[in-house]
Amino acid sequence: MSDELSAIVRAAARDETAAAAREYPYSSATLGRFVGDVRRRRAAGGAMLAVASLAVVGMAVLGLGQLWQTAPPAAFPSPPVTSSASSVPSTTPSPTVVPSTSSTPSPAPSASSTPTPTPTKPRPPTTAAPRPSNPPVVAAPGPVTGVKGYTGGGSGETMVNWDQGADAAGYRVYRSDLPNGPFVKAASFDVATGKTTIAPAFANDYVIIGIYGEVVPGVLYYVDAIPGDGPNYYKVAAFNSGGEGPPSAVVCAWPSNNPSSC
Amino acid sequence: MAAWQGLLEELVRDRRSALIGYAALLTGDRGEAEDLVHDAIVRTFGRPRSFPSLNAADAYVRRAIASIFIDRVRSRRRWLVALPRLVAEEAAPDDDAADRLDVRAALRTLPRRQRTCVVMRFYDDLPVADIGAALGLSDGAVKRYLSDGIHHLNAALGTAANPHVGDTPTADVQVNREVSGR
Repeated sequence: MSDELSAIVRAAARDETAAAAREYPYSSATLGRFVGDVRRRRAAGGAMLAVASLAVVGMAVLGLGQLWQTAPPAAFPSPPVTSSASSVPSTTPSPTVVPSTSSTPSPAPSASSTPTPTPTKPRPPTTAAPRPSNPPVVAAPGPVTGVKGYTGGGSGETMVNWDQGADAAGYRVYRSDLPNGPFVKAASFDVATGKTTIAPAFANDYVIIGIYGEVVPGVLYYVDAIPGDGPNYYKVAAFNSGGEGPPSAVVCAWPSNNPSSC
Repeated sequence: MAAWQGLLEELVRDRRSALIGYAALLTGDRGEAEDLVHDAIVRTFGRPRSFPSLNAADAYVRRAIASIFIDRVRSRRRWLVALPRLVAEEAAPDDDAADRLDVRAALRTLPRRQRTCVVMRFYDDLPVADIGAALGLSDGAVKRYLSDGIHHLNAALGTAANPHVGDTPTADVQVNREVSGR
């Protein structure tokens, strides 16, 4: 029976306990040994905890510093640290300017005129150097020029031509049945890829945009065969990464089956 | 005096002998048991813990004794792997036939993990899950150690304990803990 085994084991433990009480009696020296060892162990644990805490804090500070160095200034709205650091050399000449402006008498113009060219020259490299990761700010292209409407082929096409701008990454053609609109986007054209994207409203119609190329350099064409009775009105706008530029003036184009409506 | 220091003094004064007796069941040697108890008490009070009573501290130290004992088995095993000459010495049978009737000698014949599981089962009345949690063993491993240990003890002591171990202790007799030193 397991009860029997339990009784035997406990009896053996009682024997060992009695023997231990004889061999290892309690004394203040024994207690002092325990207390001393416990204190040493606690002190070591506290020291290890402090070291670990310092290590964690140090790693966090180093990590934040590394992140601060590598992160783009836009992610941290407070890079005044870097701007102030970079402006330190540029502001050093300015103290010579400040007293010259405060002291209105005669040395002002001569003193201010000589130092001003020197600070302006080093500034561009110092301000441009720390911000290479900033995407360059691109202005939206200007209005499209040379926009003209024509009669297209014999299947009722209309055509619009315009001049290619240097700052345009693509063009959007807006179309309306009335001269004052409303205009809806008919298609867009990516100059780099040569791809025409037709607006969903005209997905089933014949719409194409292209560049004449060597035949007529620097001129783009738009052709559609969108069914309708009257003339069509168009506006063209250029776009790039800076956004879409202002639309061109409205031009009229007419299909070949209704040539006299514009 | 700190609160832990008062509890430590009470534990060392009132329970140390019983703890050494308990540890001696595991070690088979009172000197080693005294060292084991010292280590367990220092580890228990070496970290900031709060015990609601002396019995709670006593129970914690007993678990620490078993745990440290098993840890020493693990570290000793690593040494034995590194030093094959000691393996031969350790593997040699260490018990005399004359001592087989003595439960302490019978316990010493068991491998340490079996011995620890048997003591925690039959002295502490602990269920399998608690033994496994205290020693870092799975329930299946504890059952296997208990079954093997009971087989050996039955053979050595002539007892008839059931080697098929359930999840709960099978002992029905409530032993007076005060008598056993708790």
